[in-house]
Amino acid sequence: MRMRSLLGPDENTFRHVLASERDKLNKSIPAERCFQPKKNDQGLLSVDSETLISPEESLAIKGSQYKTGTQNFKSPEFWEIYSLSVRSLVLIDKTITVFHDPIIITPPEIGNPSNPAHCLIDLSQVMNRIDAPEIITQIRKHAINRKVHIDMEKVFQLLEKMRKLSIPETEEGSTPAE
Amino acid sequence: MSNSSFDKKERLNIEMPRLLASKGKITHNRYRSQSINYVVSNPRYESCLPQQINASTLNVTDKNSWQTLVENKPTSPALRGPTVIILDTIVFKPNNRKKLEQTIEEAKALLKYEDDWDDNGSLSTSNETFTFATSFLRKYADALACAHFSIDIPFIDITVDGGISLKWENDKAIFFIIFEKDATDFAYYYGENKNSKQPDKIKNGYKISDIVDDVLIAWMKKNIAYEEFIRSR
Repeated sequence: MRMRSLLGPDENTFRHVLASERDKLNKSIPAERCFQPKKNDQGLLSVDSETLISPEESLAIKGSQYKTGTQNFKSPEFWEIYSLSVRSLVLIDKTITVFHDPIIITPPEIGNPSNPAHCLIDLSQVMNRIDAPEIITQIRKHAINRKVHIDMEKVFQLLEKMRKLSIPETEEGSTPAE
Repeated sequence: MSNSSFDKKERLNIEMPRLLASKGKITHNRYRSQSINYVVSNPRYESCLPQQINASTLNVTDKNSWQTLVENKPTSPALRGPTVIILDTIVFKPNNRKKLEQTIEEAKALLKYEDDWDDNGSLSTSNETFTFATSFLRKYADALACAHFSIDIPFIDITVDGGISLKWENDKAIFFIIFEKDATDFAYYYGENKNSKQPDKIKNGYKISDIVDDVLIAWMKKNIAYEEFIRSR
């Protein structure tokens, strides 16, 4: 069994959220379901490591993916990014961990990009039926005030190359978003 | 409150339950056998009124408020004729049941979501799951109405696995319940009061086939419902 490379408590992660998935009671914030892992994912929630990628690169990877069952790319302008801190996740429940899970596609495929910054939040210990509503509520409560600013112009510049090659391009000197 | 504003023509000499029923606002009547006792605080009448009195007459001041009045023939010869004292005012906040039904109707749009509705592999829901969730909502709205409380309007949503969730959130609290797709046994909920000094959390399973849970009703009354009748003295 491969050892998991865990993210440290001071690290942050990016969670992609569809901008249309709003909470109807407060339309400026995302709905709970945006922070709910699917049963098929066995309690693992996909995020990107803020240490390894900028929010623009992270969104450009999303925009380089095909929509399921089609050859149409996802539209990055429909997505937002929320920053989740590893420390805060562990405070919600000490069994929660975040580990590095890079996605490397070789040879490169259009519509199915590699994502070396991909990580997973492991909620499998707490995502049982009785605890799920509390955990989702707490993660979303942590995320709602941590929307990450994205330079969309930069995203579209990155997309131009990435949609052709499906290889994420990391800008030199890019720094983690605040 | 001065009694000079009282107009005898406006006075309705009928009991509160009948008045409320005639307005078509409520179907339950907790006042039918209840006499309301008040302590008279107006010093002018302290000498002639008993300390506790039964009030059964009402004065309609506007559509949504009633004043309870007391008529008393003074025993003191210094006060002539019957006097009327306004003891308190009851403000009626209309029940939002109609809005709740409208919210359920609008939420039926979730039944049209097909698999992969978010381009991320999420599942569609089912009629049965939607019915379980809305039955819960109606059941608890009815139970609260029996106690003259009206439940706040929730956000009805679909979950990534095709379940239906109901979420209430206001300045005081948050309550979130998930009805998993095609689960016929339990739905699970979590509620928390936002008061950090006295956190009031609730977490449990709701048996779908069951009657209402008194503990949950009590929590809802405190956090995500409002009283239809508010007394101001």
